[in-house]
Amino acid sequence: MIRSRTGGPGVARALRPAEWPRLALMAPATALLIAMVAVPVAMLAWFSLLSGPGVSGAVTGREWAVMLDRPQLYGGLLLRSLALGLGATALCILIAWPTAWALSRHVAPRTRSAILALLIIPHLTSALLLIYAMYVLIAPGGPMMTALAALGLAESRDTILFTRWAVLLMLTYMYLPFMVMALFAAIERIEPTVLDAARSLGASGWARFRHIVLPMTLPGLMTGLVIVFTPAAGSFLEARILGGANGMMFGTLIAEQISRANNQPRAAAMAITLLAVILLLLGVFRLLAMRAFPGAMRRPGAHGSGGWGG
Amino acid sequence: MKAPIALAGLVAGAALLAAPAGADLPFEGQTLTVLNWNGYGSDTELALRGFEERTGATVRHVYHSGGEELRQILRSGGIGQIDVALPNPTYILQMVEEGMLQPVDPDLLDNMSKIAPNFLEVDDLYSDGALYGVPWVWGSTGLTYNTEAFPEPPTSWLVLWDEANRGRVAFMDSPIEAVMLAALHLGQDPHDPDLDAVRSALEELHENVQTYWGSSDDFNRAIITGAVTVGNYWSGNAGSLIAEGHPVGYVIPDEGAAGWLSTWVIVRDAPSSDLAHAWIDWMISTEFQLGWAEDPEAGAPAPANAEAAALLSDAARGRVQAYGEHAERLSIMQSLTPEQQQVYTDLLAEVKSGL
Amino acid sequence: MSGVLWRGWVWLVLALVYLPILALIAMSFNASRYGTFPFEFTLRWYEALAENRRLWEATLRSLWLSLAVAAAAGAIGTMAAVWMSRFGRGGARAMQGLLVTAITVPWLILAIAILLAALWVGVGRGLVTLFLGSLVVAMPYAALVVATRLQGLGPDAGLAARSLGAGPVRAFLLVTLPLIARAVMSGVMLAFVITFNNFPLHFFLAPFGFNTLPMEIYSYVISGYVPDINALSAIILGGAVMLGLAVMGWRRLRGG
Repeated sequence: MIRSRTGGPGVARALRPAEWPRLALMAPATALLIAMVAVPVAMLAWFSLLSGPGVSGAVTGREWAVMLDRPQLYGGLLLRSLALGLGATALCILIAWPTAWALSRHVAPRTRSAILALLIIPHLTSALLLIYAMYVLIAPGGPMMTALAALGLAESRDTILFTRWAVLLMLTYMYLPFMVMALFAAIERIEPTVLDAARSLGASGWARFRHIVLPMTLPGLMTGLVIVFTPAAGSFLEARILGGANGMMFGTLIAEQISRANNQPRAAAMAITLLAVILLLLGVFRLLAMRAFPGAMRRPGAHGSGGWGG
Repeated sequence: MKAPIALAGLVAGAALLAAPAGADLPFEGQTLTVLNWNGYGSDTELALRGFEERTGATVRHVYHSGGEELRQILRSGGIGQIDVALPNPTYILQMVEEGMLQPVDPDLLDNMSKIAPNFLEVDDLYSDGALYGVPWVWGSTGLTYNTEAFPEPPTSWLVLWDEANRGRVAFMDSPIEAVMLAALHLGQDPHDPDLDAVRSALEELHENVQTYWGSSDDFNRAIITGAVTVGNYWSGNAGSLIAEGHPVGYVIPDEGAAGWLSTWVIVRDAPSSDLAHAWIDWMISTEFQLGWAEDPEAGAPAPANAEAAALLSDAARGRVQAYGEHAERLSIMQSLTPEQQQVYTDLLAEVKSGL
Repeated sequence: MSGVLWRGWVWLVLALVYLPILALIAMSFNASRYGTFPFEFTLRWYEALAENRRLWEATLRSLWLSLAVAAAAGAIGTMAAVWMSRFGRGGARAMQGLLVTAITVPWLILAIAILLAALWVGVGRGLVTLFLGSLVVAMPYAALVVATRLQGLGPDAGLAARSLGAGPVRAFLLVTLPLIARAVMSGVMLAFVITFNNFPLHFFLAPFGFNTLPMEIYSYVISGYVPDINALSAIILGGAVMLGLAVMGWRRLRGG
């Protein structure tokens, strides 16, 4: 081990004894991230080329050929997953934006923190419990359908359970509080004085929204997009439990490749595809946002301050 | 309220007393790992307590949701961790070939002689003359319908394809059941059908299907509320619904139906082979089989233990659908090759996606 | 725009979020085992739950796993955050990129990637795989929460302590750590709930027989449930909300 203090400045800086505890600080996290995320995800690409069984066999790329051979199935399912993910994200934004705005501007701080906590707490228990609660609510003969039937709005035997709508509803429900959090944090950063100034200069309500509020909440919106769209498009459980005949998603089929079909290479190929498409779409959204509002995405100190997507 | 359970408890207790007094429990402190569906008999208090009292061993469960998943669990690390599993015999041969199982020694099973002989004639239980599967319970996957929607019992699988039932069909989410049913409907050999015809038939059926049910709960709720009016469903579970007074009927259609056995197997490298044998012996005992079948809420299929079957109360007999005449019209499922399994699985997945 | 309307909207959203939960709690007192009407009050599902050892064992298992992962995630995450804020310079950006990427990968895909890699290495499913997998999912949240706090803090306090002669470790323990204690605690709690909640990871990585609570609930829902799962869900959801309210009330009392 070189401990020279006379080497070049770069070497000296890299190898000064005092550096070692510093490296020890970041080593566990880095090792963990590389060993448990970077390497496994990268290896998916290789596994997807194997002939099987399992993660062995020759490199053939057969599973990619099978997938490309049935674009209707695999492409169709992928589109359905993305559509459900985007739909849920859009609904979340539509519901969460006014909620976050109202919380920030029209609710007393004490009540506000209570409401935020109440919104998020159930969603911190277990996704399965929430899916299950939704199942109980919308099941045929359950509370919602019985109430609707009593009002004459539906027959008691009708149900939206086992449809795509149930999956969309569930995905929206699952991620709504997180979108509220993300947007609330962004809206809180808008100084009220800025809006007052704009008003005094004669800007209309729409103009204030379009030119001040929207650009300033854009980083929060992008954060929300990452924490809602990504898991929603990559979900499988909601569709497995609530989706029925028409709610199958790409993720459901990935899970089935592992849990049923014993086709690990195809699972790997599908997982890579889904991940790539999700990341690509996120990139596109970011680009669009930056083009629409140049400068809005570049905030001083964006690093680490909740702007994970920004 | 829980009289049958109490009765079963008494029987089990009596059996315990009959054991040599003062004998140490043979497997004190050991653990047996069972791979089964959730809520399928082996995880009832009757099963767990009874076994614990007899052997001193505790039981833990690993759950799967279908035969494909069962084998997948063994493939991906279950061997060496799991002692016993409960596959459909259809899978046994292939599981033997994949080296997942070890033979069962019938001499270690005191209750083997009580199994109805016809179940022991099933070829799929044996490989190279050695016994691998011990018959436990049996049943059928027949036509189950809502009696309010069908005052006259339907007699043919055709009813599933009937346009009048669009969006009212619940179909079982199982590749082999789906292919066999479509083959029966098409009048083909359920064990070797023309798969293109099967695929078109299932695609046609997909138009009518509201859900591919994966759990008995999906089916139960849907059929008793009328959200679906007809589907293919397990005999024992349908029998429970009928016994509870729900507007539900169950028939074996004219074309026949798939019949199935549930069989206990011992996993290769089972942590304790002796304990595994003791478990299977308890599972096929008259005490357990009767106790399970008599529990009105258990949804048990028909017992393979002839003594237990003969002792069933009339109510329980109806509930578990232990009718010999049904058995004659069933096509008992047969083994599939790995290629067939992959093809069946892909086929149903593609049909289900609706694309 | 009237504030009443805005506030009404907030309460409406809150009510809708609680609708399925209240329905679940209500149905846990309903006698029908298929969750249908007419409603008939019963406590039998709670009695059944009290006798259901499996669900309690699974709950305990989940708690232990989540506690262990949360503790490790808090420690490793805090170390990484300190490194990012103090020494990282250019490396901090790379580290943050890595953390954010880890968060961005959907759990299903990450679970499958880890499972296949573990199979390839020859380890397969197991407690170690499950622990490390859960850790890598939870740790970035803890790290980012602490990093955010440290960034707000600036280096001054720690530097002041060091200029007064404290070693880096002493300076951290005596000055910085108390200042970020609440953030570390938040990070640990976040890691806890994320681990508790992570069904895809449990489903694909847990050793067989190690059923966590989400896995038990899944197998109940998939293979036909008994309504005592209603009772357990009601207890957990109701309990979590009450706990949250109690903590808030306590803070308010304390904060005056």
